[in-house]
Amino acid sequence: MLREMYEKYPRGVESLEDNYGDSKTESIVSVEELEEQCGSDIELKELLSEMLEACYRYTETVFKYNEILNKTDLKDDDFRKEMSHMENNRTIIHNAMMDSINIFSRQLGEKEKDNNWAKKLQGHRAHYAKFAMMTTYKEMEKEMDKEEAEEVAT
Amino acid sequence: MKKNEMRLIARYARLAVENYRKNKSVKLTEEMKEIKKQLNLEHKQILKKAIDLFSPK
Repeated sequence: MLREMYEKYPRGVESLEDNYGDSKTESIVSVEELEEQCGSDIELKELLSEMLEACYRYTETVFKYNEILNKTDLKDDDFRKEMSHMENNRTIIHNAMMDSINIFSRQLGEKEKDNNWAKKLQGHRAHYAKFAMMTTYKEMEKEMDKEEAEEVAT
Repeated sequence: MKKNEMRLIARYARLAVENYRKNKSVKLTEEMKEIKKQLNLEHKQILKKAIDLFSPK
């Protein structure tokens, strides 16, 4: 019962063969586009780097949260303690991630660069969360593709 | 999907992101290799599943 209260993942997913892992992983703006906006501006580049770090950290926290949520060997008391700690941690990291995106986009605006992408996130915590996770995945995917290409070449 | 599979996907993805964040590496750790074998899925496929399953709808 206690665990069910925490479960937020989609219902009706029966097996690993279900249609998970096949969805489009498009983000509202790519890191390449953001890098282009930064140009040679050192301050913007630093803010982008901080924003990406915050996105990675948030994504890691979401996975850690789900790891605990799906542990079957925890007693109710231990589960409650772990989840309570994770909930607080996740909220703090979520807020920090949203702040870093807002600070970066505000600076883009002040320097008369395009920051319209950020307007699509404002007022929706879930939109920030999805953006952070997609951005993390896309950055990792680039590195995976690079490594695959290097393996083929050798 | 079984809870254990969900836990393994979450753990694998967490280890992958942690490794990327700290070392900018997407190389598999020994534990990730073991989980990958249990799930019988490709690296990228596991990460995509993790994003699909655990990101807000």
